[in-house]
Amino acid sequence: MRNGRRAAGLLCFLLCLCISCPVWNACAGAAERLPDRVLMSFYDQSLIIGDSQMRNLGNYMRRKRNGDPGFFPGVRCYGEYSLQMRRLAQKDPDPNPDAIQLTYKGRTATLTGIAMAENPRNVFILIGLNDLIFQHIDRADNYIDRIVALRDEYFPETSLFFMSLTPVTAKRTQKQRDEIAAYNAWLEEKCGKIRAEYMDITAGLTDEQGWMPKEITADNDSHLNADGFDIFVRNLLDYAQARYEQGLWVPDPALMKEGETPQ
Amino acid sequence: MKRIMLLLLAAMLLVLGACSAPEKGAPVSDAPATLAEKVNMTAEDAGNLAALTAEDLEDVLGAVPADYTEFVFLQSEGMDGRELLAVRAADRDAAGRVAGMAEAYLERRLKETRNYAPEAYKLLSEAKVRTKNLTVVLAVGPNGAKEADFILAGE
Repeated sequence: MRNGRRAAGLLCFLLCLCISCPVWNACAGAAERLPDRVLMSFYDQSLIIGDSQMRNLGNYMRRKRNGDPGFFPGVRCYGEYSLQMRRLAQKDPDPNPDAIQLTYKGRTATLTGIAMAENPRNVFILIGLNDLIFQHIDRADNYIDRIVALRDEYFPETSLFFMSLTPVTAKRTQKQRDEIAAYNAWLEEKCGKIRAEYMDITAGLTDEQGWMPKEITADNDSHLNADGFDIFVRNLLDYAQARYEQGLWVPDPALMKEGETPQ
Repeated sequence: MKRIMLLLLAAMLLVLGACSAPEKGAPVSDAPATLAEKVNMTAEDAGNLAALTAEDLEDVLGAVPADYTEFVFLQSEGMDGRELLAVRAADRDAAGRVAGMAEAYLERRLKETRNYAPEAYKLLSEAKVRTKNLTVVLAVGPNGAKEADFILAGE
């Protein structure tokens, strides 16, 4: 009888333990928002590569950093007006002097060349509007495969992140708006099949119809202004927070101030 | 007579005072102004532009710290093409090198913006790399020529 009670008690205890684990996990999953300076550290030792949008992002970050040196201190942006995705899929620079290419240390460069020199922890890529890549998904497929192959061979320790294309204003056609959205959906699926991550950075950049409001653009077309970059940067921080909540990123404990350690 | 003398003395003092007052916009001290001071005095939008670092300067132009004693490199974060580069080179050879780098950079920017960013292309087309002694300036903007004149004055 006594043994039976003990066994029942043990069983109850084990049952409670089994029930409480998922509850505990659910509670643990709802982590507190990390401070911005901690979220920015997700982007330490990182390159952000792209076209004019990323060139302008680089200058937006520099301007912010001029006033606050702690604003994304570990990011370097490399972007050139008119740059096309196919350039990122090249190992060596194009010898054609008229080709639009990245610049590094004053010379034409490729993503591979820069990554081999800098050995970044992460490379974030946002590119494709200039070559209308959203209308040529087969080409994008090929370019992305080559970019990943170059990474695997020449800078294998680097994590690759492909960012969604930014939306456009109503100055463009509805067809292009829908093609860009479809491309982003394809890109997300593509990243799921390769050793790369997809980042959706479009939150807050569109209205109900999916157009980018002209008020957050520099040109009423596709280029963000400072207000637009405020939102873009918020999306970068949200992404870092999501990675943290999913257990995919552990911030440096030294950055966590006492009393701000999330539950 | 006494009154006239006093009036004349007052007038002389006023004239002397006006003559010794610093020119509007010119540095107040006798020490040569830094490039940063000159840029801040002539570029009204300097505070709204991104200030590039030495590492950025090397990336964009190829100029290394041994090439210069001082530089200012400001760029817009918009699509307007606005930027201002001023470099005090270390010596004459370096000034030649930096001027060449700035020319190559301007050429590259023209290619990038030609059929892409008309506003920026227009400003870049009107800009010139200018050198005076050891100082090289590339001022891209609606007042670029005036800014370059001001920065190079006294160099």
